[in-house]
Amino acid sequence: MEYLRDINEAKIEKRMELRRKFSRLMLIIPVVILALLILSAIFAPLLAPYSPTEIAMTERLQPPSFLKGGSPKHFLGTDSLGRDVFSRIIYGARISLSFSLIVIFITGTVGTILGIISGYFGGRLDSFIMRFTDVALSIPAILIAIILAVGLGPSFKTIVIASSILGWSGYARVIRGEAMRLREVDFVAQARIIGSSRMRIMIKHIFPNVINPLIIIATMMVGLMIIIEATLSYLGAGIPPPNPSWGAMVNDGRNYLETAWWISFFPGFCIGLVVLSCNYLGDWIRDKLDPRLRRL
Amino acid sequence: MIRFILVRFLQTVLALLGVITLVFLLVRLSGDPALMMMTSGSMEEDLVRIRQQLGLDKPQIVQYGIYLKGLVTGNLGESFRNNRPVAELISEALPNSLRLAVSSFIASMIIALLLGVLAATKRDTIFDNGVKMLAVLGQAMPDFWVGIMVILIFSVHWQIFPASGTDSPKHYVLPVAVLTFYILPGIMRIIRSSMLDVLDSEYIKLARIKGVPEKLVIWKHALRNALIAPLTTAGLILAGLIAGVVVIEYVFTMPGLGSLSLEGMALRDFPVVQGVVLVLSSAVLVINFLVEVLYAVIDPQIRYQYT
Repeated sequence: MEYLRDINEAKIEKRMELRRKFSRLMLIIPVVILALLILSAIFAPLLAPYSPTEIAMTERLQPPSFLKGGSPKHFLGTDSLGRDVFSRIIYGARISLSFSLIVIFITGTVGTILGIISGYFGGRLDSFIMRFTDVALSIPAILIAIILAVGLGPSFKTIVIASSILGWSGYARVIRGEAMRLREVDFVAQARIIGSSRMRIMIKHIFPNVINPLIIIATMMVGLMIIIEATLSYLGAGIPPPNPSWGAMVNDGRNYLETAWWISFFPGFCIGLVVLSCNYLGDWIRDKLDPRLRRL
Repeated sequence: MIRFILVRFLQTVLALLGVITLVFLLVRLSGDPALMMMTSGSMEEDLVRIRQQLGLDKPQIVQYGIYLKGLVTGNLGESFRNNRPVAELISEALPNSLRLAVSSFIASMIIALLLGVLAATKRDTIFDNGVKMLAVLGQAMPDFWVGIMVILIFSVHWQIFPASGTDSPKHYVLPVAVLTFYILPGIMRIIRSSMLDVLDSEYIKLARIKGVPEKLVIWKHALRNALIAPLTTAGLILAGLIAGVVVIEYVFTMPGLGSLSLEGMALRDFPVVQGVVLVLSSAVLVINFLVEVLYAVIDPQIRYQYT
């Protein structure tokens, strides 16, 4: 019986090895997609064949070049105002990417500071901040964005503020847990004994040790932020026309589903593809840096 | 237990006050509501008159007091557009949003339970991987786009289901399906992972050793305990549900709180938007409070922290 088990284990080992190889291979796809995204955001003016906002009524509602009746001039067709869908998608990458980076920077900073303070000090301050966090986590950002959009009008700034007001909560909760754990660790206790100030301990000793979870949450947020920007722009609370946000483009095609489905299809397809890649890479980075956080 | 409920109740009231204040501040932050009501033919006198009407000429703190007093008496103001009370508009819109939210929630709970439990018991099989794939896709694809694609396929191409309206149960099929697909992954993941934890525990081993039939072990002993985990993330699920309702109502042009607030946004109808946001976020806080009480009833560890 013993040798049977050995064979079995060898089989399992082999299968695990194959799986690891496969997942490493699978990593190439999201990396390529995200590289394309970043490149198109940076070099949009060079890559896009047309202006993203210039209206050409004679060219309106042209199907993609690979479909029947499509003109070779427009790879993904044109929208109801004759603008090139492909060019608009390329420029749209700029909005998606810059929005997520800005919001992640703001919310990550605020969330880390609150999380460290809450976890390190503990006690009443901790329970206060954490109740605050719970509330912030449960209020949908869409509501804040809608109310801001009424006053400020829909704009890039509006959705950045709306997503940042409550978006720090996800970071705060995880970082707080880490800070709590670190507070009890030997090197922090030693720092306390030699008389380091609380401020110094938090900056010099706690912060460097929460960088890993911070990176993990931040990468996992990229996809979410891209979806939030697209959703808010789709609803009319975000990027105002004629700017090419992917979400707003899906909305542009809403009334042309019967005749020109490509206007809505391709931008949304891009959102899905990019978010899928971000999430996949995020999971991978998490598994590499800190598998304990798998529960996030 | 009573102490726990009391503490949480007070915290909820405080949070409610916080949200009310936040909404108040966001309104003021964004400038002068009176200016937004101006049309191109308006005069300086009109501006002064409107400011007086809205009470905007009074100091901020007095305005805040008036605003709070209005909320306590259930007065949410009147719509700029048609001068109807906001509370009335909301109570008209509420039933449809509730129908949409509740039926999607029930549907996704049932599917999440079935798939989550099966995936946990058949760990690392094709079935489990398929469920994981479904969750990954559901989380990556924006709900509004899925909605539009579903309309494209089932309303435009095959013409099986209508793309908008609320006239018959048939009108709800597509919106409920899309919303279900949107909130499903989160719930399913939690159920799967908590089920995995529970299946690993001692009392499940004991139940098996005692010779309890496997079906009973899984669907009664294990599932009962695995169901506590989704409760802890009820706040997140609810937030997702509300965001989903707003989006889905817009995609399928259905009347409801989401459409009401989005129309209000487009027309800059301030009181309406403010009212809807307040009602929805209060609903979130109240439901969270109720869930926490329920959680404490189920799990003694929680309530003993407060005794």
